Amino acid sequence: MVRTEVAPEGVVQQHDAPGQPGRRWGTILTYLLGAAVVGTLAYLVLSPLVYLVWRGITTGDGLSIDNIGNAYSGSGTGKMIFNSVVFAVGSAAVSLVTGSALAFFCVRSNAPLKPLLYAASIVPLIVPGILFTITWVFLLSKDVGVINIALRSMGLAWLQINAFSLPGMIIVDGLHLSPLVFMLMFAALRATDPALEESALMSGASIPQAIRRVTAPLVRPALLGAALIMVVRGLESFETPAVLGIPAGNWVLTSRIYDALHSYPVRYDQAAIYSLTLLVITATGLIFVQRVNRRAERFQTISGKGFRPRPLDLGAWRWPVSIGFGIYFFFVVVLPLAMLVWMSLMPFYQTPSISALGTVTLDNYRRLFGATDGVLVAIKNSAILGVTSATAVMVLMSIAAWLAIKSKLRGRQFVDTLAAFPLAFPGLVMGAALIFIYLRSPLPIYGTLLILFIAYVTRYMPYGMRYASASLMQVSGELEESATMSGATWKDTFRRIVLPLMAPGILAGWLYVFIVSVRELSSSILLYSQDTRVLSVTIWELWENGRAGVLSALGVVMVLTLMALVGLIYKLGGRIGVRDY
Amino acid sequence: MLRVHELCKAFREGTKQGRVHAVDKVSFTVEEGAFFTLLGPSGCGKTTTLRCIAGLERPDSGEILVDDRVLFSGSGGVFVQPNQRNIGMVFQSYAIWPHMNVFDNVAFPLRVGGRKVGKAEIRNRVEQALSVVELGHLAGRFATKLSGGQQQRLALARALVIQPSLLLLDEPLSNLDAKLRESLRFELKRLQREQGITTVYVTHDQSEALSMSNSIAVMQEGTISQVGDPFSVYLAPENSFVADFVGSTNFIEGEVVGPAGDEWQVMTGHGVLHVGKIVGVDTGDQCVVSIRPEHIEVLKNGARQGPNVLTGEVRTRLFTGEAMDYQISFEHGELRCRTPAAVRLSSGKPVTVHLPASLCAALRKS
Repeated sequence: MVRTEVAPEGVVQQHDAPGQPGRRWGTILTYLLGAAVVGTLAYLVLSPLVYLVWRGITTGDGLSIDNIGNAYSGSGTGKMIFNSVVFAVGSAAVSLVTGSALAFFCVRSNAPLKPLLYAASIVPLIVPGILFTITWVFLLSKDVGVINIALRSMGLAWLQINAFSLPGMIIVDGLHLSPLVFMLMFAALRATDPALEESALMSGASIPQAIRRVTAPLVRPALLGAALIMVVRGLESFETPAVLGIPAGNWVLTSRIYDALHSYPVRYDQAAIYSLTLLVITATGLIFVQRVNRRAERFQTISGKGFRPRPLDLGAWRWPVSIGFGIYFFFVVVLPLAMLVWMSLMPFYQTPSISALGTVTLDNYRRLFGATDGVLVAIKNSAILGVTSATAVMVLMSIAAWLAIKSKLRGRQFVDTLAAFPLAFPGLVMGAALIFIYLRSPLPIYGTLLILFIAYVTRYMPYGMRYASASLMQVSGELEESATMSGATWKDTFRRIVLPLMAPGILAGWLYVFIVSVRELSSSILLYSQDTRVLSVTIWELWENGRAGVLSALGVVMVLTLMALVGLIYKLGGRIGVRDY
Repeated sequence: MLRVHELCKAFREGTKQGRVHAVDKVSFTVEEGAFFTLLGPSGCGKTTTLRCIAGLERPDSGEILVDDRVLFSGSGGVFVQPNQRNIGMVFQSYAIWPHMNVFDNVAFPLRVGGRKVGKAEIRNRVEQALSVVELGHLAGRFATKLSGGQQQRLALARALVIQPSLLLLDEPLSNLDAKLRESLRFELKRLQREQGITTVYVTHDQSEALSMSNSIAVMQEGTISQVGDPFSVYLAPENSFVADFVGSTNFIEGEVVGPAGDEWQVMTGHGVLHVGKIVGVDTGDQCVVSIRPEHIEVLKNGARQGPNVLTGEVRTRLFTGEAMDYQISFEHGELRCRTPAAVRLSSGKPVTVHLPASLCAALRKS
């Protein structure tokens, strides 16, 4: 076959014919840039991995596997492994069932109140996990939990769940993760051609049969992928096991890593082994996810033509399903946020009631700006880290995306793999690895903001890459070529076509990385020092010191700020989608 | 005027060893003001040829000249950058810049590169270009808010605003629906004639090529199979590929027996057929006899005898609105035959047809 559709050449190559000095410089520059970016990526990604492995397999006497034996021989290890598995699988199950059922009804039914679900899928992106978990303490703790009190007053005491128990942890974490399942399954269901289902109906199948025999197998790979991701997320989860698990002695891998590094005597070897265990599991899980996704591509029914999902008529079930939507929204969004606001207005903790309204005060908000709690320093640190790491990630990843997509360098696929690798690093593992590297390193960055910066940049590279490459894809070859045919030089094309088209996507990516950096807890908790507390760490410390009021006030301010930023992302996201031909 | 001489371009194929010749020694000349079409199936090298003319691909060898200006010469080491060529091009996706409005899209070529055009003149020329394509009233609108047909005309205005010496069109109608496509054919043809601009058009749609072009080059696997005006390409195809690709045709395999007066005799499964001409074959050669469905005559009462008269049976009939399509089976194979809608034959009935020798041609099998 003769090929006419060739990938558009890089702009540099098009403009400088061989033999001209410009071309040679362009090529050399491309190689230098490529080498610099790949080198930085490789260092950021591989150094934690190498140090972690090294730390795990050596003792003072050289190579040895004693660490493994020591780490797993302690009492309670079996229980800890059991808890980890039950917690991860359980919370994955909760999020999968709720998330995918809601996604199905949202995409494929005519039930009203659907817009609530969009809100419910966005808010958990905003509320930091530590805040979400803490609010649930006040909703589900055994004696003072608002929900438990309500259940007791209705004579439904047998329905009570204690937050400080394995089932409590599972439910809280599951609810926090379910919006993620909702988004994943929403996309998968949207991509399924309703004609496939309709042809099943025309072949004589009933609606339940069509769902079972056509729809379900089609979305099964997506469902399997989501299940794996959720189990991995459950294993990585730190906030819930720390807040709800540690006080009751329900240990899991993540809380053990934290404990090994945060209680005297510090057990570095144990932390390294647990971290490696976690890393192996998450990496394996994500490799499986990739496999499943590749298999799912076979089923991809997305054609060039757009189609609308055909809503099923639920008939009498419309309102019951909608009430389900409402209840979900209430538990995931309204209740936690309302609790946060309530606590922030109370001078000391009281169960919500009319009589307590008399004590409403703004003292907690005033205290935020006092010097005693170090809140202002934390805000400053978080802002510095958010801005610098978001900028670094987007600059680095824009170049990496350009190398991976538009350049013709050999080995450019490698850039993609490197940039995606940190997805397998749980935050705690990253934190532990960085401690191992920089505790002994001659570079004096341990205990400075720089080490947090390195952690954030490494962890959020994959997201930056996703935004950068998506916005680079926006600029199709023909858009650049038509500028060239109009007489534009390389500089004109870059300044007037490529840059304006990429900018909204890059900006949205910047905001995303900024937000997740500000929320970050699990790496920061291992890497902060006296002077480098960040917001999430401050919330954690306020919680440990029992200062729920100030904590809630800080939470409210934080959520409102982040909400405004997310609103901005969505607006920019809309701008990115302007090209729909 | 455009002259392309022995143009070659090969690509490294990822899956195969070695290079694939996408364009292999292609030569043609387009007269000043003519509408020239490169027609062929996908992968025949037509788009690569166009992109070489544009300068978006660098040919391996050959020469490209526009109005005696050398744009590319393999032997002379000349390669004019695409932004220096003063060629207008309309892309398949139109490549309308989504972050600019209609006016800015058209004004862009006047604002960049070496062209230093004053503000007032930009306004004049853009307005004129927009009014030519009848988009003047939409100047302030965002480009993405236009319909498909409007985007296509916008892309055309943008290509014309630089007053190019050559206009390149890369399947500009393929993204539109059938009805719009037909009306835009007239539009495009009218504009091209009014502007008197030399145009190279790439398409895989034979009816587009036939209806719009002054001259057509049918391409196959990187080479030009036949060049000629639409009539000669359609009525006198030089090989079976062209006969088959341009329009539809019947092929009857056979062997050339020899001349018989003005005509030639070919031995086929249907017996000896008389053909008006032979192309690229000679006595004793294997060949195919090509006859177009609409050239086959249906004989009313089957009374006639003689050469090229065959009797068969109607297998299927299709009513297409303006005509009837019949599939007629004979002892040795089937023929398609198209008659005016008024001629109604019933399925399963015997039918006698005549293949006029002057419209039959024996072609080389390719």
